[in-house]
Amino acid sequence: MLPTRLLRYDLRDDEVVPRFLSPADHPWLRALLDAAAALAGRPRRALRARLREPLAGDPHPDRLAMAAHVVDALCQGRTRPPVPPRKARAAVFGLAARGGARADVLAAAATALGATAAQVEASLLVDLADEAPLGPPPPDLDPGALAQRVNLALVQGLLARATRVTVRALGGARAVVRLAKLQGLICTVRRDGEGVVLEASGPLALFRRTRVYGRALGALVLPVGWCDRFELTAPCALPEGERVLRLTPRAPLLRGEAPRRFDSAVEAALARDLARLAPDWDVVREPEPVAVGDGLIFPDLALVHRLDPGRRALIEVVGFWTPDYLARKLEALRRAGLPGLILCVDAARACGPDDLPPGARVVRYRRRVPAAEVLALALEAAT
Amino acid sequence: MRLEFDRGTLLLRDLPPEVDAGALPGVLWDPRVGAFRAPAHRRGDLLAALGAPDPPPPPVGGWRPVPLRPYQAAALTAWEGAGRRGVVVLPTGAGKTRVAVAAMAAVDRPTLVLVPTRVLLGQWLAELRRARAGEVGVLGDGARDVRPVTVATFESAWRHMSRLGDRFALLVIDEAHHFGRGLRDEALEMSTAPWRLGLTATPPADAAPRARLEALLGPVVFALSVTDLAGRWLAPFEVVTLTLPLDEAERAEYEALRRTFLAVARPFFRARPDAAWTDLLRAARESDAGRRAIVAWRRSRALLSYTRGKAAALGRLLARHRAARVLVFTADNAAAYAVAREHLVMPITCDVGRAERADALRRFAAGELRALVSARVLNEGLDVPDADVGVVVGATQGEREHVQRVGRLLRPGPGKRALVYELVTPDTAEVHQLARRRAALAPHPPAPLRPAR
Repeated sequence: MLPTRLLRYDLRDDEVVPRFLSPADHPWLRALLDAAAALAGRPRRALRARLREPLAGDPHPDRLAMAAHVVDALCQGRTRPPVPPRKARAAVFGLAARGGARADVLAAAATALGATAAQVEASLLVDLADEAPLGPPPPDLDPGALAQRVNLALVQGLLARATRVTVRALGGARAVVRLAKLQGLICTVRRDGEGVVLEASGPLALFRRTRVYGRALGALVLPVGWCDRFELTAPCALPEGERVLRLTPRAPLLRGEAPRRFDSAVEAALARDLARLAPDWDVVREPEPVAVGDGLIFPDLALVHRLDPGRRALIEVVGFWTPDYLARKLEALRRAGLPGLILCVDAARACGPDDLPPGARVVRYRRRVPAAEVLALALEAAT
Repeated sequence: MRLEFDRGTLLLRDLPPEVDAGALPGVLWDPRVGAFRAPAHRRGDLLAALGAPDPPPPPVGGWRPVPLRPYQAAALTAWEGAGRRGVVVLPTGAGKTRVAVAAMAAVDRPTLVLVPTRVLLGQWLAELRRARAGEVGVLGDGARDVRPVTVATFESAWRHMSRLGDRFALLVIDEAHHFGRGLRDEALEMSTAPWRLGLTATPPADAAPRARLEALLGPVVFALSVTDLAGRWLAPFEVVTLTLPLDEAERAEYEALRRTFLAVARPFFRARPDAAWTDLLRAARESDAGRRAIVAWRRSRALLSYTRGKAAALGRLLARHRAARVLVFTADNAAAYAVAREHLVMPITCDVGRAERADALRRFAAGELRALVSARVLNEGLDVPDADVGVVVGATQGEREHVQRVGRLLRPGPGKRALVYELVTPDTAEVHQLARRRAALAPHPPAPLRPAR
């Protein structure tokens, strides 16, 4: 994520348009990567000093500053100094307190540490931030990949100034919802034709723009990038006033790793166990979202009979829970005509008394969901 | 009716039909969850408006007696009298921490102490472990151990207050002047703590952050300056200014950089005399000349931060005060490391680990290290052992920073007279900064003593 001072964008009416790096920037990005590679092993401040001098491709200083920030973060070097730096400092600065010329102090410290004066001097500050050595750029980081990383950092920097994020998505929205909830955001979802509209914001956003959740909102870009189609909009508070950021799949961003196939190992194990226990049934991961009240829920699994697809049961693995929460959820499912949805609750994650609502299709588990019990309830629900 | 803490806010549940929730202080309807919601820090106002009881949490206990100097006792009384909300302004070295510990013992309820740096985190932990029997929680510097009395860095508090905001009855905010400007305020907004104590040597001078701080912590309830306490409770001090010209090459470079900067800045401020520095920065982004001007300004500052004249003078001062304990203050870490390398002075920066920093301070106190150099870490709150000479090589943070730096040297001792050297480059922007810094050491006007909201 780029800090605010490095964000570069244009303003068009009510919109903020990021100044993305493009293939036209690749020549100087190549020069930047070469410069970083040439300085590997030197103090990190050396790269900053180098970039004050002209660079091949004559980059715009703002674009260069964005890319240099990303390169600096990616090129964290590791070093094995000849003398452990902390030992070197303890010896050198302690001996300096007794007086004497600089060279004599270094020589005395070298003798005490069993090294040469040059080695002691080289080790003295080598582990401290800007004095620490620059590492070589990652081998797979070509100009195109670097441009995508810079563009992602730029978008995340803008989203850090957003009050909320709205995503119209087709396919893959579940990963976005999951991450939003993990990040402590309030996430509402409603159906929109074939897709969904998801709105994520922090609780404090009701009262004023808040930065607490800016990083969380920025993190949503990665799973959004894996939706089949999407449009992301976010009002961003900029020094010039509030402007809307719009993103579509055409934005040249790094997509990151594909979302995980299962929410957890528990869910993955349950899917495996059900497939083994019920060979006549298909275990469908991430079935379509289901309308409940004004919102949607995303069941984790559906169990669908292979010969009679009308026979199906939905399964959700619940994380932290309270009896109140379960009661409200079961009531909402009942009102939505979904009493057959089976909830699997972790006994170790009960936030309060662990009594369950009577008559609920709830399976309690510890570490591994008892698939046979789930299957029995599913057969009952699917008849 | 229930006030349910929800990620730094309060959800109003089971409202009686006769209550008009929309008219309650700070309450808004939240369509996202279909409930009324208020910021957590408005809990006291809400309960008062509803006439609902607010039973305090159980005492934490275990406090040992805290001896106070007369002015510290007066500060505590002023804070208690203001409804246990407000800011105490005392110079560095006057014992703000002691006042806070006494306040915590008097309140004796779950307390969260917020500190700006990891260095201060360790210092507060040590202080609280001396003041109270029982474990002290830590949030920050890699630790997440929350207990009824916990110390957190600003950053960790900001990140975790949405989960912890309803656990504490008292917030103590060290170096409270960092709040009131937006970003960090959210940590205070997300807490339900009714009692709040801010500590600072330098309250915000601008009206907006001052008002915001007052809304979140309470008004300034007690204030004394360095000169109010120097002589009896703080050591007397003398400031010596050394003017150290640039050499020929440095002067030529400096003038060229200033020309580039002023070519943009002068016409800008002539056209917009009321504009602020941030307005110039924003406008400068829009043109090549503007961007070059800002780069030139940054480079001119870097040049002044550690000139060859300053380097030579520092060497002479370190030699002259070889028998004294010397603190060297620089404008940035790069200059601090340059001093460390050139004069073999131990650096104390944010990059130096906690254990090594503590060891360096112990060795400095024992006379095993003759000097320490730092850009920021020594500025605030850190309990530096008895130093008696300070050398200000460079500064970036203005008057506030200067007051704090001078305060580092004022721990009283028999016959002690602290000495502060300011190294200033003539015919540069540093001269104006010097005048402002001098004014900042003047006495405070008496604090208006008025009750909190």
